[in-house]
Amino acid sequence: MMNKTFKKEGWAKALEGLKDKLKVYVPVKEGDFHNFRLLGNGRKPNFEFQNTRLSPKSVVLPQSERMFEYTLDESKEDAHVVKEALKDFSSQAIVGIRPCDAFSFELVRINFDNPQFRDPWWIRRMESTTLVGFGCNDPCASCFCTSVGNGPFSEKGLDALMVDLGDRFLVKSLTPKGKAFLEQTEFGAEADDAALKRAASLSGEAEKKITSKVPTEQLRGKVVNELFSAPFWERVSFACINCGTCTFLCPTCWCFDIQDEVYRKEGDRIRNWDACMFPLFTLHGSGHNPRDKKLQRVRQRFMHKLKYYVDKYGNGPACVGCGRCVQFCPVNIDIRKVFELMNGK
Amino acid sequence: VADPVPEQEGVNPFKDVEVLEKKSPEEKRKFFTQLVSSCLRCYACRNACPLCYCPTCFVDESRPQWVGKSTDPVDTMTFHFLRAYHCAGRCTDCGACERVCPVGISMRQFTKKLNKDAFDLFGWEAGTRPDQRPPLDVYRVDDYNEFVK
Repeated sequence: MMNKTFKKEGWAKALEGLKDKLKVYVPVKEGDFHNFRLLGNGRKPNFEFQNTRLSPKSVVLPQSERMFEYTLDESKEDAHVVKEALKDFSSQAIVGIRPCDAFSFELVRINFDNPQFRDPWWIRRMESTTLVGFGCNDPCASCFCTSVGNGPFSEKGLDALMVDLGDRFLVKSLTPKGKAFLEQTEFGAEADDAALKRAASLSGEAEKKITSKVPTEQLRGKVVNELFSAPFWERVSFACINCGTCTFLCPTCWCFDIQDEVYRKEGDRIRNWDACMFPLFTLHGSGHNPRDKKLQRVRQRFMHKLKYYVDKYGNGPACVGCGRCVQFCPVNIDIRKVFELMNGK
Repeated sequence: VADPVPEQEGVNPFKDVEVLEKKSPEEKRKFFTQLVSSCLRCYACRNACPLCYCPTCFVDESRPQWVGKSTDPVDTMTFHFLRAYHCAGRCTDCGACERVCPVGISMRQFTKKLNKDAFDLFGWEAGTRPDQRPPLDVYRVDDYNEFVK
């Protein structure tokens, strides 16, 4: 394994130098917040953030992805033949991903890559992606990663980990992929013991800063039907306005909808992120909607993450504790409270 | 609790709209494209809006489907433009839409222009006269449009 340190401007230059070899996604400041964007077009990485507004899940599972294409033009030989649309699987790296968001790929993998189903595009994109994490020196007040299986300096799912040492970054490789990434970078220096020691102490300090905790130990033993018909859903869902903020901001929400879009005689089959908060999510062709009340939809979202996922895969919960839904829910529905309710007696 | 605050005078609530009005159609297009470029189509703005009460929003219609569901900028623009026009003369500029937007879009840039038009053309300020119908909902003999006369 390889450990390097970079002066801050050296790291920016090193990433700039990589962008011709692979697609480099970095946090970019846009207005009041950061999001991951492809390096290039004069964009500058900015590592002064607690977390990006959106997780970088779209780099692997785009919000809209053209799956297939077809023509309805019967003068053409291949009319009505559905063909796979051209996709880009070239090497890419997400640099500056927080450990919680990296861990989300581990949780989501079971949906896209399991003995029964293999999503070829998700898998190939994951294979071509190097995740360079970024330890959280200052976790948000709404973070609770340490109670859901990861932490501010967790290395789960990561190929390398960056640590902000103040005047410079320490970058540690964790996998062969991460090492290969680091080997390609310029402007780095062999990390000294002081840097490694400082990183270790920052990690310990960061964990102590996470004061939000959620209980999870009872979830597995709970009876599904009892949780399903628990009286607390009325209260939990009361204020919900049925928007998709929580789902779209959530790094572990993976549901999608497949739509055909035809312009004149050319058609695309597109998959788009969907949200179980939308009534349309479960609307049947017959007009019947098995989840036509918001209580049912809110319950579904939490039951899926905290109970169905846990039961089905013997893993989870399907939450990484990033706290985005807590921060950005327009009506302050707090998943930490729901953990307590579902895990309670 | 506190002393009365003097009524403010000479306040122009449409300063930003006036800046926008001076732009060329091309510049406006660029401005609006940029404005909604980060939209996730989560519809928090619509759902928080006290005006939006349709049982099924036009973007949720599937038979027929009026608007594409992908992140194609044309579809995103269609959503925002249609929503704004649908609120013309009824939006009170309460700002709920902007407050709930998870990606900080100032969608009041759309509705405020329409509020200004409602004021300039019909002398109408939404929410100030509960006994009157909004201007796009009534026939008036003094309407400025020739075609309705």
